[in-house]
Amino acid sequence: MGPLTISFIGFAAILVLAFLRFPLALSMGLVGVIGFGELTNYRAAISNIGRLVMDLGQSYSLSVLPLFILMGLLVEKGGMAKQLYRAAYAFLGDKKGGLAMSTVVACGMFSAISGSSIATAATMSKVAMPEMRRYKYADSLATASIAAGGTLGILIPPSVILVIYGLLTEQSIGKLFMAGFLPGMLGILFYTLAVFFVVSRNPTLGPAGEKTNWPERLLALKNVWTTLALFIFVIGGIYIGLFSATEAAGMGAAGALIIAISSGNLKISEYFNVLREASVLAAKLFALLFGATMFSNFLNRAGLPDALLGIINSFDLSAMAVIGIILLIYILLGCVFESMSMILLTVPIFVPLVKNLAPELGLGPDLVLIWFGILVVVVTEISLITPPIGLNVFVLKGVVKNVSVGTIFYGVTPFWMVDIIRLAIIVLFPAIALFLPSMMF
Amino acid sequence: MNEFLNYLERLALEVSRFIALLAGIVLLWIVLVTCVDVIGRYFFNSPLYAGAEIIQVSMAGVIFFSLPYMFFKNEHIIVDLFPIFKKGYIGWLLGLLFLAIGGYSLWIIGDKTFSLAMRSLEDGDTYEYIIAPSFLARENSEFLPKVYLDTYIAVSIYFTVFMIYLKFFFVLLKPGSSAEPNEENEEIG
Repeated sequence: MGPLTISFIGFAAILVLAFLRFPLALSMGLVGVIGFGELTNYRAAISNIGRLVMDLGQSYSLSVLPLFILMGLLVEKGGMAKQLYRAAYAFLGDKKGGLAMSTVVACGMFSAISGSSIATAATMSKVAMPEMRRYKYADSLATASIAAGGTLGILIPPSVILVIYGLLTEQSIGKLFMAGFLPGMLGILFYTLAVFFVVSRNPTLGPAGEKTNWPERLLALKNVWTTLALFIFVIGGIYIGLFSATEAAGMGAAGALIIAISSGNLKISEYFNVLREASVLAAKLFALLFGATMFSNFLNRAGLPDALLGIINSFDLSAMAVIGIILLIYILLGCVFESMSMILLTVPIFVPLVKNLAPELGLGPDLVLIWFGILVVVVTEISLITPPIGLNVFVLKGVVKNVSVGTIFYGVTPFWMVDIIRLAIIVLFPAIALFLPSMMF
Repeated sequence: MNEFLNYLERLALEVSRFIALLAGIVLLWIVLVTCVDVIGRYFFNSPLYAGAEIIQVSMAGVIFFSLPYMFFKNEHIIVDLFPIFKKGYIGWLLGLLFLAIGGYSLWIIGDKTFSLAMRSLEDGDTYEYIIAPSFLARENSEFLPKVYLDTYIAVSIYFTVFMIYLKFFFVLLKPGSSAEPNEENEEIG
């Protein structure tokens, strides 16, 4: 059997197991070990496992995950989302569609502390949805602005998915964070424009809220300065080379702890719950990384990266055309796959291929992978609001009552379209993602 | 009998929850170590000795203390595409199958890590910077032997296997029930 057939069988086996609701980590790990065992011998396949568990379980780089998760959870449970929303509302609320715009901006600010899209969407829906219903916003616009705004959680640093990508591809997590910043800002701008476009066509969908005077605006800003300062401290610290990503995560978690304690919103038992939640999440991601590494070892052993490269060369495609095909595959996969699964299953396949395209793209081997990481995250963001699976849409459906999935998907369409435009811009102008990492100290 | 089983299940859950809380406390310890390291470096020109290695060792605490709770609560990342495989007898059977295969796979991983722990004992492997208290150190080295942490990892994995099979037992005795936790959606609006 050729490498493509073997890899295809492995991939199909994972899909079958995953569709049968086997945990993804176990599915990938099992297929990886069995595949590797069949290609070499089982003794070698199993001996890999023990070493990998020991190395991954004591990984310094992996510690960045629970620390950033802890930081996000502390800010989330500490009730900062409400303050962020009020601050955004104070400046944008009096415009047509202003509450939806405020939601997008608040999602962006919340993403600057939280690394998860689902957490951002779930938290912001509790804060923004009652307000938008009070002002008689159409459910389609209200829910869509939260679902789309929530996707920014995985792009604006810190981002759990960028950390996972960094660990899988051995890229600098600090540089990946920096690369996500400008595309994330572009996302806020484009989503705001999408709201503007929607209310320009039909103003009744998003009536203007009450005007806030300047003293109230300043007060609203004062209430969020700690959260914004924490973001600047953490991400700025990485940018100017004050901290490594792990150190920044640790300092950020300490800062978030201080903010949470000073807000007085959390009981002692809630602190324990947050600590436990962050640790269990880290263990889940550890299991996923373990499974993905085993699967990746199998694919490499099967010779899939070389086989794919051979196919690409035989078609004589340009590097940009290859990137376009890969992104199209991602958009299609995004229709049926959950974001983390999609990344873990595909990154080991595409990364060696993209690395080979670096000279033709005029980028260094590391920069090309950083740029590709941002592209992957942006298509993942798109998958979060793409039917029929669009996870963020289902988060909204679970949290907001009396709204159908169809309504949310209908409302999300303009946001999906601006996302595709944003993706095209980042593909055509890699400097948007690479400017900050290349300027890092 | 049912009441007794429910009591046992709750007890097992509470034990794994407590152990996961220990993982959280280790995480808090990592926050503290990082802060002391960074503040020491910038303000006192004296970073924490062996800071990075302490974080590495502590990470094992965060991960492996969390595993029993994660498996007992069945908190995994799952591709939730076909709800038919979640409910009723199909869900129950698949849940049992996953627990059986998951437990067996983890048992093999536990065995491999335990043999690595024994190898590090034979080879006398130590950490590079962490100095061991005298009652833990070997005669020929002041540094912490790796065997302690390696054995802890293996034992944690064995304990997780025990919790998985305990869960298997509870699910087996409730035909038609799901191995997954109940989802409670909080509705607002």
